[in-house]
Amino acid sequence: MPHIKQILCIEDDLFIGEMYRRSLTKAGFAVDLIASGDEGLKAATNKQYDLILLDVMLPEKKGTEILHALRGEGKDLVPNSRILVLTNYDQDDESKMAMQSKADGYLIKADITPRRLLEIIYSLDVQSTGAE
Amino acid sequence: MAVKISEFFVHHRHNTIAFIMLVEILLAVLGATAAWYLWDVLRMDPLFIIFLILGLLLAIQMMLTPLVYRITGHPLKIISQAIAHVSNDPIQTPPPDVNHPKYERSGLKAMVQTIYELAVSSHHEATEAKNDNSGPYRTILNNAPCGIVALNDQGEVVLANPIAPTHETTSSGLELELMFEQSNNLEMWLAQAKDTKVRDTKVWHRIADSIPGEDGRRIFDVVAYYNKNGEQNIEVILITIDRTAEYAPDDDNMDFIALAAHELRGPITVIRGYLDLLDDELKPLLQPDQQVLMDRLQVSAEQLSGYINNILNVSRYDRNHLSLHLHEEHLIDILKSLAPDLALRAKTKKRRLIFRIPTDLPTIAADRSSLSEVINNLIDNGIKYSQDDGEVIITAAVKGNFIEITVQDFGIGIPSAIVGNLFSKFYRSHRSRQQVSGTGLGLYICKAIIESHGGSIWVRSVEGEGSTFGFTMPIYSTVADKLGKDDNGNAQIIERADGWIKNHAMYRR
Repeated sequence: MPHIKQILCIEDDLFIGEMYRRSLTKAGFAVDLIASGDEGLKAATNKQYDLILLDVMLPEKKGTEILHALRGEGKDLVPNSRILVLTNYDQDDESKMAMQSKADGYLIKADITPRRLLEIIYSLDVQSTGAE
Repeated sequence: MAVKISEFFVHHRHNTIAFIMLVEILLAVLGATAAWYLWDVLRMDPLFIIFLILGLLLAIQMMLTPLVYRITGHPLKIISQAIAHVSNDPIQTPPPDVNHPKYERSGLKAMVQTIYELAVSSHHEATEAKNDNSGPYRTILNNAPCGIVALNDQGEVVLANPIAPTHETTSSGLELELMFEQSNNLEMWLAQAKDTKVRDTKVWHRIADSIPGEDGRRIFDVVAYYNKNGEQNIEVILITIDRTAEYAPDDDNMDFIALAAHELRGPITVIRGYLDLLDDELKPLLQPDQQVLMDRLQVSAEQLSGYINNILNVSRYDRNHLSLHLHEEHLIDILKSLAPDLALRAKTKKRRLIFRIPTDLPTIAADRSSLSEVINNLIDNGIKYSQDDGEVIITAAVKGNFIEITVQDFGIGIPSAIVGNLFSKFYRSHRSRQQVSGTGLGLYICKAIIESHGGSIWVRSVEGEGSTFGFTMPIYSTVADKLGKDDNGNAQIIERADGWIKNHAMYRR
């Protein structure tokens, strides 16, 4: 896995999206912010991202559907990307487990701050590059 | 040309008579010829000739008997075999082989085929009679206020009344439509009952027939009766009682709480996040007193998100939806991840947090986020109920198969009269209501989470001197086997735990 550099943030809440973009950009990452599910899925498959931050409650296409399209039914359209699910919605257990099994992390947005997110991204980076 | 079935007997009778007559004529001719030869040519004694010929004819007749039987009795044998084959006789008779062309010509093949066809259609009739829609029993079943489902020894639905939660499968059979919990389902109970019991009964509560949000979703209490030697091969009878009216509002509330939490968490994310950004970006510019304000803002925002988690967890717990996934964790790692926020909280309230955690503790089996909430809640309480410059001391030590974690403060303490109520929902002492803010959910959910891990929680307090809250977490190596069996769910551990949680419905999930 390459070091994390390019990040796609699929987030419909402008305030939250801008917040992550600001903090991640300051930390040296290149961030594309996309606010709709459909556009997000297109971007994820058209461009090579090292990390995808995926919201669940999105317009047009839900995060669960995007994750399924990218990594459902045994396929993996983004083998070189890591996916972090970021949500504030308290999903039922089955849906949560299903997402966790396909993603590299599952976080409650209200529980983490941008600085904490950075720590998590760094630890993801160490884990995956360390495993090579 | 093949003989028709209606002519089979006439044809067979003709053949038989003709064959027997032919044999008799042959014998007569043979006897007459022999008599002539012995009398006329050999000039033997007539009495001797009579005895000799009679003996000879008897011998020949005995030799020919099997042949006569073979020709005349064989169709009877084939027909008997065919009837025995389709009968319900426990000794399975193989079907006769009638593929030889001679059977086709004689009409015997057609006879046997007719027997088979009759047997198949009579079986259908019997099955239809069993499922007869008339009769008092069926009327009772159709009008019963609860679902009734009968399963055979293969676990297949053999009978279900209309309101039972079943649906037709592609093979026109019926299938149960109940979503049991993975760790406590019908198959598991049935397998156990088959192995160890002759009769058994089991009750499940709150079993839905479809996922939340589906139209017409029903939620049942299910009672199952198992009888190893049930009549007509019926081994299990399920009674389903539709409790949707009682249970659905709970689920709707749950959905409401989840949605409300989502709405609340949005702005909290923004407030916490932007404060975090501003704190980082403004740090060099802020005066010390402004930094204090900033810290207080951050701590308060963080508390809000903690309260929401508590509300969600209590709601899940009360509706049996709190499930934990226990993994091997280092307590020290969990504490380290919580430390910065906790330290900031302590600092803004002018308290001192002291961690006394040995570095060589064994790993524990814990659901990381739930345990984090317990630690957050207990340390928050320690901070809330102590005084300026007060210490809050966190320790950990091995106690048998558990690690005991304690949180001690030297604050106002708790009157002994109310210690017993501390872990109740919404319970807050009269005095603490006046002095300290809070929801009264924290300790309630702490107890629920700890006991769901198989641990226990306790408090020791002296009014005016302070309180110590302690709880235990299972050491991973002591429960690893049980966790493995349950896909890291907590059901096995809960079953082992003592006290109220054992019978509490929570272990269903």
